[in-house]
Amino acid sequence: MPRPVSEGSRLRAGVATIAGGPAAYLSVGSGGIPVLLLHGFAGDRLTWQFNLSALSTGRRAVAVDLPGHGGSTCDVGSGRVSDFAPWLVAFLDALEMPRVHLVGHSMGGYVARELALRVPERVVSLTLLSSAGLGTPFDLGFLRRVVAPADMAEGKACAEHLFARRSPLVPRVGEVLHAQGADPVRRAALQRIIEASFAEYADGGPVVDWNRYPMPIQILWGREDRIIPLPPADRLPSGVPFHVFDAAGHLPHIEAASPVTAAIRAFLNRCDSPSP
Amino acid sequence: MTDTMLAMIAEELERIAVEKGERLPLLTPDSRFLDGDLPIDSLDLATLLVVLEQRTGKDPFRAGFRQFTTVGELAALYTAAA
Repeated sequence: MPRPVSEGSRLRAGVATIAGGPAAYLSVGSGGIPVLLLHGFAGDRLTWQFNLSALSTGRRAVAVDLPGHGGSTCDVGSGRVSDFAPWLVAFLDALEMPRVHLVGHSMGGYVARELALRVPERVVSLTLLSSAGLGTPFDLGFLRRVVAPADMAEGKACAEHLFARRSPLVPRVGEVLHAQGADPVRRAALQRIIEASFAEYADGGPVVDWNRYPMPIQILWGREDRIIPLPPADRLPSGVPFHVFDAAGHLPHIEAASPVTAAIRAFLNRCDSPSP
Repeated sequence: MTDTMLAMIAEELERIAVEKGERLPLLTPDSRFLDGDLPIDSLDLATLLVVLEQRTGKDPFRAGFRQFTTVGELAALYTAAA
């Protein structure tokens, strides 16, 4: 049965003008404690398109393009993604979101942790999806290929590597990766991020001190992730929800959209009103 | 039911086009989304899918993405969705 959608909860694309450069975002829904979605390296806000609507039940859901990505500023400064955290604080202020749930995918998971450390009083919960920065090895060669596919075929091959199964989305993702790599400004920004933030840790990085994070944490992963393989238990915070999605690669929020969205929704609802 | 979905898709595409200052050509079930028939891009298409899910309460992509290229194919996905 068709149902009305109020103007306030309709999906809209916007650009916030903030210090450090413009921030392009999608916003849907209203009220509640909002959820802020942070995409992975070489991705953008559209990677959340299969999750946004369901996540906006009872709350505002916002997906932002990180610097160097999508429609946001191409200025990535030194290329250190930890510097995205203060930019995101300005973004939260611009969108009048005093407190949020954070969901970060891959590089966005690392950025989410940086933001949580910077303004812990504003981060109600932290969902890390196939997250970078847990100190385990990852495929650096893939990251270097994905920002500069030589042709459409290599773009498609990169896209296939992100998925566990054949997906009708592969050709489209391949086209987007190829087009992105053909833009010299975009490519330079992404390459700067790789060298400044990732290269040093490809064979393993520091172990995370989870005691520094006062908010509830949840970890989600695709069992067949070929970019950042499933981490061993000793790299994860103890006693937190940890969901592994079968038949999903590095993009479980796309490849297993419904169960991932359901896990996020349930966690956010629990964290909205923590038991005393 | 497919006609209802076609009408809803037409209404939402019209809204998206107007917001961009574009004019929508006459829409048919064979109109293709991203191949130049319509003045929309992938952001607009994502917007359309989110709004359709909001309005119908249905998610035809629940079990994974399903391919569609035309307006009629998308309408059929929503009509068939539980």
